[in-house]
Amino acid sequence: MISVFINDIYRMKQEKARIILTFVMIGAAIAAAVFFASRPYSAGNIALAAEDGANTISSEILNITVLDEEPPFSELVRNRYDAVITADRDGHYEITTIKSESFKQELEQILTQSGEQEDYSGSGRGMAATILGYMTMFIMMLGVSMMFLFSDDKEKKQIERVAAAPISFSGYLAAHGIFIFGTIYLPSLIWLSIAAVIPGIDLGLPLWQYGLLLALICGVSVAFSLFLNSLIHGTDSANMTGSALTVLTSILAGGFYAFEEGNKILETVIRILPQKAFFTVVETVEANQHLGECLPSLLFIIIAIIGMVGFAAVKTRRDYVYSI
Amino acid sequence: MYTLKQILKMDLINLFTNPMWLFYNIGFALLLVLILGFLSSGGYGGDITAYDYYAVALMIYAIANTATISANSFMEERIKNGNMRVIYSPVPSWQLHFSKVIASFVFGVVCHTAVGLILHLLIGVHYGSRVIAVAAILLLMAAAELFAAALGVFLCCVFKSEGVTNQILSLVITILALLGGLFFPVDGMGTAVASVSNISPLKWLTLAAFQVIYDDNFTLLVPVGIGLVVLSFLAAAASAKIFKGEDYLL
Repeated sequence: MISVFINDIYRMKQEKARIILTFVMIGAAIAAAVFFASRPYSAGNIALAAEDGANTISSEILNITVLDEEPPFSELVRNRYDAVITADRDGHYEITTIKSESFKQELEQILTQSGEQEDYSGSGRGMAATILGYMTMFIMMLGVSMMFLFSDDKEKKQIERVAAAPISFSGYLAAHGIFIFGTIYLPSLIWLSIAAVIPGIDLGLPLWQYGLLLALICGVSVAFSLFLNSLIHGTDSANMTGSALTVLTSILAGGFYAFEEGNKILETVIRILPQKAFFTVVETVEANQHLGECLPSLLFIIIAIIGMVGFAAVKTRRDYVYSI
Repeated sequence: MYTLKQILKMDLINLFTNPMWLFYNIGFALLLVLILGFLSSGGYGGDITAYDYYAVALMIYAIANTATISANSFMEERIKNGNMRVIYSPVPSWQLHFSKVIASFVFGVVCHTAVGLILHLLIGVHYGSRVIAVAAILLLMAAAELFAAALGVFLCCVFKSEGVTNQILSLVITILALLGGLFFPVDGMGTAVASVSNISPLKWLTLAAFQVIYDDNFTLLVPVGIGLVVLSFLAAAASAKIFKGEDYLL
């Protein structure tokens, strides 16, 4: 097991591009999260095209851009603006939007009752939830691509030698798993420690809690990529399927953007994603609630990790140890 | 020319008979559009639906991912051996990677056109009201496809390894797509975010496409399209300059 681990270190040393890339990507994910999280929440982006002399609208909860003329329709479709308001001198407003009727009514309400506006409570996520939400997809993708150590072994038939050698097969898998866990976990922790000492950035949680939460998602990442590679033969196929699946599931789980209107069937699908459970745990920890609140999610993640690793171990053993 | 045709034929067969890549190019793209469109459809009113947005935006993401297909078709472990023989044969080596660019381009265009067509027939996604607009969109997407294919092969020549290239491509493309607001809107998040978003080429591609579809405005389409084609030829020429047959030994 230790020799496999040391061999992995030598192999990784040959892959300088990957190491640099890992650092850059995790750093970029954290930077993007800090950047996006610091923006103020607003109920909508409005383009205001007002005639000269018309009353301008001001609102604390709307992000209003004043333009000379109406923006082209494509700006609405590509979500640059949620609505366009044209105002004339008589004080008439006209709202153009492709969004739902309820949004339009909400907007009208805000416009008419100018003056005192009640606090519009949006989906204000905490800093830690944002940072870890952004990192999740990248950590999952990195786990899949770092698993080349294992899939190359399979593709180049090295694993058959391992199976025939007098070493423990589980030890071999564990060595790969632990090594890959380290290659994702350590850069993430290093970047977070750097971010923590930069003045002006409030990470929202102490570093040791970040460490524990990161360990959880890195574990999911390694378990998933082991699971995937035991099912799919070939580094490239596994890598492509893996990145497709992780992009899809991480967006669905709401790492970047919480989808407002849910649907029963999809909600059920989303609920079985480990990432979703992870976000539940993060939000509970950040809200400083009792850990018991998220115990089912936590258990689910651990069971998912054990399940995927166990499946991978049994399947690979069956493929290589017993069949030879 | 005969040799190029033969290599191209084999490359096309390799691409079109690989179930994994067919799934990646058709199934994954379709799933992404359907799921994301479905999830955000609640926020939309009548005429324009979330699918209208995601069918275009995510198609551009899928097209960018053609780069990983071309990288695979160039240096995948299974294909390396066949290519090794071609290198030893009296065939100019540029034909080897040039045919990969063309093959991935054709594969991508066929798959993504199929996805676009399915979405149009299934959900009635809008691609422009005039025939010329639809044709312009098709040409723009084809140009993007060509550039993605050339870029994948070029990066393979630079890094001499398909694994590294793929890792870089899939991460960079996803980051650019996020920044460009393909998955969820970022433009409205304030001026700072909007200016960072401007560095994403995928954003400009989306912008050009939406301007043609909804405003009948071709001003951005022409420079973006020409730029993509010019860049593709530059990338192909650069690959020819850097590529050496012995790279396959690594």
